[in-house]
Amino acid sequence: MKLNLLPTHVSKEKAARGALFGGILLLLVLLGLSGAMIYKARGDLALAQDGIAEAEGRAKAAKDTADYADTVMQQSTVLLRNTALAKAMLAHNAVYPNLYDSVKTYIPSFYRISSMSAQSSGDNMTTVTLVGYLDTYQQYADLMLALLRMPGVVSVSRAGFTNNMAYVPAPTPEDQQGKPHKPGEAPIPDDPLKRLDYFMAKGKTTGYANEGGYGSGQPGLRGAMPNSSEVTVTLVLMRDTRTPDPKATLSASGPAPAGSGPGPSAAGGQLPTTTTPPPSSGGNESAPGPAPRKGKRGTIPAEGD
Amino acid sequence: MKLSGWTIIVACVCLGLSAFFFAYFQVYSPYEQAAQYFRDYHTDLNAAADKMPLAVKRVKKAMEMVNADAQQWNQYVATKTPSDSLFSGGVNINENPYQLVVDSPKFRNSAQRAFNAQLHVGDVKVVSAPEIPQPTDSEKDILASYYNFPAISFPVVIWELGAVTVTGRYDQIMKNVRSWSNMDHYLAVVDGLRLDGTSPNLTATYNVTIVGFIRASRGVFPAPQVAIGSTSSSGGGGFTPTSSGGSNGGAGQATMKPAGGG
Repeated sequence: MKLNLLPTHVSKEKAARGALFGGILLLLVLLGLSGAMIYKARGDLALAQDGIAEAEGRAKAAKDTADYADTVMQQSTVLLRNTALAKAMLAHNAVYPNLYDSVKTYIPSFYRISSMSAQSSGDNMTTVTLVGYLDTYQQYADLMLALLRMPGVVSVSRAGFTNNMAYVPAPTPEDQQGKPHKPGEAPIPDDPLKRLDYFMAKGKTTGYANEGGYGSGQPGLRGAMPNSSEVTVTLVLMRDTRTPDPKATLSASGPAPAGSGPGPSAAGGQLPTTTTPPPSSGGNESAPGPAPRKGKRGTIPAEGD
Repeated sequence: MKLSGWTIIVACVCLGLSAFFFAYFQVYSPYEQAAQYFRDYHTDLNAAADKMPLAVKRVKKAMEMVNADAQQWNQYVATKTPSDSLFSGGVNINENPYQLVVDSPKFRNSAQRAFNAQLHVGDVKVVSAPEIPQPTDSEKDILASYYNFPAISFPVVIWELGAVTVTGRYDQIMKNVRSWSNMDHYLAVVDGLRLDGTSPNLTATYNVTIVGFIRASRGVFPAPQVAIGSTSSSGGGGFTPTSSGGSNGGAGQATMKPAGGG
């Protein structure tokens, strides 16, 4: 067994000194790291803030310039609206003649027109109504095929043809064979004498019929001939025949400013009279402001947005 | 009191860590985050600033549009508006209201003459035609009732005249209808053209609306030959229109209504 004769405080003091030295060393290291972090963070922040004001100025200038386009358009609204109205009014006068010229091309010669009208039925849609005369049931079918060839036609509907074609009836006591006759007429008798009476009774035109204005010797409307039918055709076309509405358009400019006096001092044309440059591209460092908004502005497309 | 070595080490470590954590959480991390925010902000600002050429282009385009319309408008003013002289068929709106009451019927008669002349273009025969309404003889509301001022921000006559009936051949009628675009001193629009009858004796019925923008020497409306600012410089030049207009949404749009075909 070994006996330690040294006092206990001798070895502890040595150890405490080492620990103190080590602890201070660690403390210094940690303090140094902390200082380095603070230094770096402040440097990074300063670096990141550098040039912000200048960039804000440039961004604000770009936004102001872009907004100026809106201002130009907004302040010229009345001018633009009036010019658009004038253009639309002048252009509209040819709309109906052009429409009728194009429709007329597709109307077959056997369909004799007595009336033609057109009505706008919404955006880019027009209903054209034709009234005319047809002689045969076959023409009634051919007319539809002819009109369906029209470019931009959406639908064609027809009405009014009276079909008086002879048809084969069922046998009756007087007519055992079912001889063809027109709708509404009595059966044609088999007995020769009765048949003679039948046809004699049918003969009724004894003079000038004066039907449809024909033979009157006067110019004017000629209606349906005997055995013809008045047929109404309705075409729906993809054509815009809406008419400019001057009152609604001009009223949209709003009333004159209050206190403008009895005379028309308010500018109706909104014509530009001064020359003021839009915001320059120079920096404005007074306020950072929000970043310029993205997307389209006003009525002018923002190219590249 | 004697401290053990470990106690000293732990105490120093704790002290050091306190300083370290303070530096990290109170300074380093927030500052770095703020720096990142600023970097992002800077990037956004640069992106926005880089749009300057597009913005300039946009302004230029807007100015070109307005200039083009202004030039077009000047042409309309020169040919499609009544003059400001009573003797040449127009009216001077800047006269005193009492004189305006006297002048307006004369102006109306001039307009009716112009309308009557226009009705016969194309060698059609007029079956029926409307009359331009007579102005009021009240000096108090002649501007409001006849010239629509100040209900509309500038004086303008709007005559929704109604149905016109003419007869003629198809080509004559079409020429007649198209010719309303050429009416001098007024803007006229025809709608609801309807044809009836047997060719060559056709009857046409249509509605006519006439608009006359009244010139006013005191205002700028509608003064022809107004100088237009240049748009040649990038971002510079141009102009600022003088007064406010309506909402931006309806800029340059004419209100349309369905046309009646009779």
